[in-house]
Amino acid sequence: MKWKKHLVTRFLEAVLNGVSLGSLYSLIALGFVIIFRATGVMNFAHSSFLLAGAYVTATVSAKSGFLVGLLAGVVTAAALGAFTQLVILRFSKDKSHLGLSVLSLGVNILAVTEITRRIGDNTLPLHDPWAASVWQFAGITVPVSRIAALAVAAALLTGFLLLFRFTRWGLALRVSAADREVAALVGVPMGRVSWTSWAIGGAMAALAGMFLAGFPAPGVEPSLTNSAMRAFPAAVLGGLDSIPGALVGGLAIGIAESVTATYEGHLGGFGSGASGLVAYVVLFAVLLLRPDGLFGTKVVSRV
Amino acid sequence: MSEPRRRRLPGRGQALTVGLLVVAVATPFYVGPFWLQVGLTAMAYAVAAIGLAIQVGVAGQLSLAHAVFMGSGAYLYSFLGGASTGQVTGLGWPPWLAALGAIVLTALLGALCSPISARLRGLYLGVASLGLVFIASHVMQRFGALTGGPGGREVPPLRLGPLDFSDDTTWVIANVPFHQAEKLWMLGLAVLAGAYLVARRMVAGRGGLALHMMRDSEIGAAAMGITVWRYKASAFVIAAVYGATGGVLLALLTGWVVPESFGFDASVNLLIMVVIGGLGSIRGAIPGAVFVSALPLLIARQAQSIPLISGTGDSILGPGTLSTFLYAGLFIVTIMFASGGLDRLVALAVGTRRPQRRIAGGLPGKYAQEG
Amino acid sequence: MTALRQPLAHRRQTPAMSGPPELELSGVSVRFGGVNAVSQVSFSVTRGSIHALIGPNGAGKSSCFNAITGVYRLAEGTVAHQGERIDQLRAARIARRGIARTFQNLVLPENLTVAECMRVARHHRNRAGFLATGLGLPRARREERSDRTVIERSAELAGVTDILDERVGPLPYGIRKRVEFARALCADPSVLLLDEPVAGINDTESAQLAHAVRRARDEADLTVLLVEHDMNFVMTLADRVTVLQSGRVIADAKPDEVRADPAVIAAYLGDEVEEAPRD
Repeated sequence: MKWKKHLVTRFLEAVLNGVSLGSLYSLIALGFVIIFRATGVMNFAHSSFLLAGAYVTATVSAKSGFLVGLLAGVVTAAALGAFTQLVILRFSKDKSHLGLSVLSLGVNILAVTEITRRIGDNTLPLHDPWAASVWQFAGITVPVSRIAALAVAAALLTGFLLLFRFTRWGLALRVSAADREVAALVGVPMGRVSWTSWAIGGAMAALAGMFLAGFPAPGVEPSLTNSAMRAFPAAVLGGLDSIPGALVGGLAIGIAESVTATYEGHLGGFGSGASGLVAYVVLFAVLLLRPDGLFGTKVVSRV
Repeated sequence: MSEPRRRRLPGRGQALTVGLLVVAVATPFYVGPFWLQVGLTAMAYAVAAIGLAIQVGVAGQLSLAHAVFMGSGAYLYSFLGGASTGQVTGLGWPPWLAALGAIVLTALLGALCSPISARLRGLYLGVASLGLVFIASHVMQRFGALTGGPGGREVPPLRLGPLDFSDDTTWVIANVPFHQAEKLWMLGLAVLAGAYLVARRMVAGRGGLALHMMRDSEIGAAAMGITVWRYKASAFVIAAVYGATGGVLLALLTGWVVPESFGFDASVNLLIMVVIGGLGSIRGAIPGAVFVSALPLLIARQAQSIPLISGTGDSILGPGTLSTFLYAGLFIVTIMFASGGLDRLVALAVGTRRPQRRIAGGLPGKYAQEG
Repeated sequence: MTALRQPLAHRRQTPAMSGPPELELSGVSVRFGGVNAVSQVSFSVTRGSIHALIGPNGAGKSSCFNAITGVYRLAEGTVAHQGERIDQLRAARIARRGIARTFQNLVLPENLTVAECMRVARHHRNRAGFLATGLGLPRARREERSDRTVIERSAELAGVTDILDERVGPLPYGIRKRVEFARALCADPSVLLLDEPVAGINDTESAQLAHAVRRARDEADLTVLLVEHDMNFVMTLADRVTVLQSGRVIADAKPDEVRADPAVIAAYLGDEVEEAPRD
């Protein structure tokens, strides 16, 4: 019974990979939540930020090395985020949250179409230092890229939490999420908080995108946007305005996805590819029980 | 102030409607298969878009999953009406019954969404609806016995009693042979006209007003005795019925259904149609659908004469890409500067002083910066 | 939904009127995260009366309204309408019993005409579904015709007859307040709850509205409960006044008695600045 012998290690591998994947989802979801807190917009352009970052990382690192490429990718995505807020959303006549959210969907279509056109049918390799190497210990095999992803994501998340706690920007973000009008009244520079939040959200998405395109994925492809789509449920699952919610939601979905991917072979033909759906299945389950997400602020309607 | 309820079309509007109808009915007598194809595609999407216009524009329920309803209609029709082959199963129902069954079952699917839709507010619902898109494309890809998998399955032609909409028979009307495309054109026109009229009445009627109220304030709606969850579910069911009808039309016209036609991109395109048309406007959804669905076909046809997309190499734009840029650009401009959309243009053309059912301030939802 | 109509658990002694009071609150408390917005409030509204609920900002007036109309759940206590408990019912059910309300910050879909807005309130008096209206079945047409009569009558009472076909969005604030009132009348209510009906409108309009409210009460057999800051409006219009302060009832009497009540005077002169705005 070879299969049985590996039962435990297989499960552990799945969970470990899931935590790593989940930390990336957390990163994406966190950017999403930051933007939502700062501007009340559900950023449907998030997947294009992620794709743009990964695409620029891949193309630049082919010529100038990985670190320069990564920097370029992060800056591009941040710039795209800031651009969306400063040039598109700010000048929209329709200022409703739903209007602006749908507007971001328009940005997404344009950006994704353009990048897809540039990538064509190719798969762009990342030129990342860890490539396809794996770590093995105690019978568990994990790609180095996943360990790196976990480490970077953990560092970034910690960094963000420190910013959120101890800087003026963090304070502004905390206040503005509670009540944008009040925040503006007490002198929080909402304009600056808005576009910096969009930029930070974009940068986080780019980093996550880079790791998602790395091993075991083949490289940068247009289908990378699907990964970003799986981070939407992570954000909503935790509660759109909740920072811990984004972290927990991302991890939950990463682990669920990874575990399903490990065992979906046992589900028959219909199961293959089911790991891509798990995010939404989990989302539906949670929303049925808690419509405002796990940690989201319950909206008290005022009449 | 004698009859506040009766809405009389102004003379010009009436003339325009009649004129358009006459042109539309006369079209198959004069134009070739390409234009019939363009027009039919537009009609199929227009029917579906009307449903989305009610759901998003009138009821304020953001849906990024409308193509799922179209796909459900198309596939269910093919399954119920198709014959079993080695690859796929089919029930072999008479086509009219299959079409009806497809629409009813899709309506049921819409109703099944209600436990989710009833609990979520607009933005959350948008994300949740993405889930429907992914689950649906998974089913379309993997449920090979019903859907034919990634390769799709054949669509049985429609027969309504003595009326045969296949290429097996040719009607001759005024010396013009009516093949499948011409016949389907007439069918599509009738369905679209009916769908439009019913939608206009629904929106102006008791239920439509309830949807309007709910969109503005759920608490306000409840205070007027409106059962909010039920009306949210109704919006989904209406969208499903319209989507499925459009889907059946699309399937009849293409003769073959594949999963790609009903994925995320298709759903987004449908949303673009209703936004460009002017959210909340039933009338605007039709030109919106015509624009978005016809543009790639027209560009593809004129590809040789458009410098950017002719030739080969990395720098060229495909017709699909170019048209996506155009309508996505128009989509952005519409939300940013002209939330009235194409409905505004129609209003100008028919000479009404104000557009008929423009949503003030554009999309639903509370205002961020202005009261 | 249907099994919730229970007899009132502990009915208070009512004066020798025929039947129970139109509306009765007994020991009602509303809490938000541990803070009492309304605590142990009891009062009853006599059928056919115009009853005012007043108090400084944050006294819990709007919370009372929201408790009656099912927007908020009660932490304790009961609300009864014509002797039957309604505090367990959903807002839509309460509305269907004939309890109509207006909103302090107007809830009018801007893209509808005045007449259409008013027709929304006819919702629970009618039955036609989407299919019936969509296909233009006789029932839908019949309902539309009967609605028209009610709308015209209510519009006349509220003084919005001339603008029935106007779009609501561009109308001035004072007019929209009247549209809210007209819409509430369209529901054929037995109880009408008016949330600050004259806030932000001028004295002339306010006087017109007072007249309209009285006329509506007389002609349509209404009971009116209103929240209002404008003392002039309240004192000339109300038959009875309940005064709230910090979520508690501090007075419940005829207008003249309330005006002379030291506790009320203290509440209005003393605490107004310190009260945190809540509603």
